Amino acid sequence: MGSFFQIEEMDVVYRDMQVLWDISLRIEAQEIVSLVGSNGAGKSTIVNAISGLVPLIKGTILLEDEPIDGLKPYQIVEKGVVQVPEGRKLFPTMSVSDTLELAAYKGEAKRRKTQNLERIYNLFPILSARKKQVVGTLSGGEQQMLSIARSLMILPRLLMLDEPSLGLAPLIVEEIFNTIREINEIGTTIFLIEQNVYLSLELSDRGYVLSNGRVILEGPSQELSSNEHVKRAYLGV
Amino acid sequence: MFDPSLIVEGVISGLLIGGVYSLLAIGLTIIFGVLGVINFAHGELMMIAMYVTLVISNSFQVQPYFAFFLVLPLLFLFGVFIQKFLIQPVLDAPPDIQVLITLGLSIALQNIALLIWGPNYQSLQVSRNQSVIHFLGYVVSVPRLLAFIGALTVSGLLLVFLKKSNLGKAIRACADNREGALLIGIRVERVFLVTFGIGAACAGVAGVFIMPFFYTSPHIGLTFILISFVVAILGGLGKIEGALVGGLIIGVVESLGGILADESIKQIITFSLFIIILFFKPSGLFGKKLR
Repeated sequence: MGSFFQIEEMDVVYRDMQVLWDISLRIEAQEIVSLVGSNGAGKSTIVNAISGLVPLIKGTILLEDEPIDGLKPYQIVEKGVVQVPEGRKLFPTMSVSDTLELAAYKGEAKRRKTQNLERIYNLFPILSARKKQVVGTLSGGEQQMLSIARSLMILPRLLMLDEPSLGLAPLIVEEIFNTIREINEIGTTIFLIEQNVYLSLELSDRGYVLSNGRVILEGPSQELSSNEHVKRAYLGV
Repeated sequence: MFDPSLIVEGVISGLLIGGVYSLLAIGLTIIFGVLGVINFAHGELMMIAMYVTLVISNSFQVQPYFAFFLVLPLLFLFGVFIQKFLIQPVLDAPPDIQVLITLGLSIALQNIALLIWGPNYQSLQVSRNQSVIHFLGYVVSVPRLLAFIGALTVSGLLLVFLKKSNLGKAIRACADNREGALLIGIRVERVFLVTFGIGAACAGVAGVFIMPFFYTSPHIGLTFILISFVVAILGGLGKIEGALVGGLIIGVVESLGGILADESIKQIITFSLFIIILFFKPSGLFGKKLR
């Protein structure tokens, strides 16, 4: 019996260039696992490979011991592996409530839409206040919250957040990270991709450090934050 | 000078034909908005619909409006077919490849029509509905009025469908952000099939409603593709409400141009206005502000 979620020896070529080499990582159920590394290290490509947007040339991705690589993006979403993408990728001309309802348009998510919607409006009161507002008019922080909320409407089992702190004020970032913790506490497994190494190691149970397309370090987050290399390269101490 | 009642009649007649332009351009603009593809074969889709209407009406000696019930599903399926086998394979290719494909399709359809129906202009053989109604003292042609009502009803229903239904919302989501739609589990390729089907069906329905007071020929599509480009760009490419309003504007301007100036130079007026509006609003009436 393997882990809840596993990547084994994955290589990825993107736009005719190999960007990931021999990536192996695992995520246990209920965990928060962070993936840190500098800009351009290949973090987003890992998430996009999991979501089925980028093909693998070697290796496999397993969810509860079943391969999910090779599935179409919508099938991967149906399995409960959902991404909150970098840059949010929202629908600017739609209203907040339409966005949330559209995400829950089929399956179990549809059946539990009403109660889920209520839960999400409790988690993000600001979105409840802006229900009828058009997404393009929301602030950056509100858009990030909506992007997370949109993914939660699908009832994810593994929620992958790609750079949720990007471009946001420190206070908003703290709020978002608190929410991520809350989402985890109610049972969702979290895979957190961040440039903000300090914050994400503080939040997560375990972490992986990615550099130039390879995993160079892994371990419990506390150990990583006290690692000399991590301190020097990412924490600036 | 001009008789003012002539102007009013010009405006009315322009609005009526403008409704058909709107519907045609909505088809063009929805395909562009969602797929990012410019359908150069749009006029030919309308041409095919006009011939189908002609054949049905002439063979069964029925009013052309009956063709609506065949043309709508037929053109929808044709659109789905085009998307599945011609556009989908090149969707990620550079735009010039897609242009070549739709342009090639347009030429192919013209020549197929030439082969089947010959080069001559043809119109309906059933006794033409020439009736008019009098509205506040102005004369209004009934077939044009029916075309206007039909086109606007279909456009209105389409707008409601896009605003309210789940599939409609999914279409809008794909237009707004294709990757975002993929990531929430929308089957984007299916949405694209439906979108091209809807776009083609718009051209088809426009063809049915214009046929009672128009003629068709294998090259008639060229006339209409030009108008629908102007309308769609004027309204803001990808903006359905824009195409709706743009169609009415172009209809009226063209009609008044024919009255105030000579019929043969009316297009100068249409295109001059087009250029002037784009000069002040480069992304179209309903388009986003450009910085």
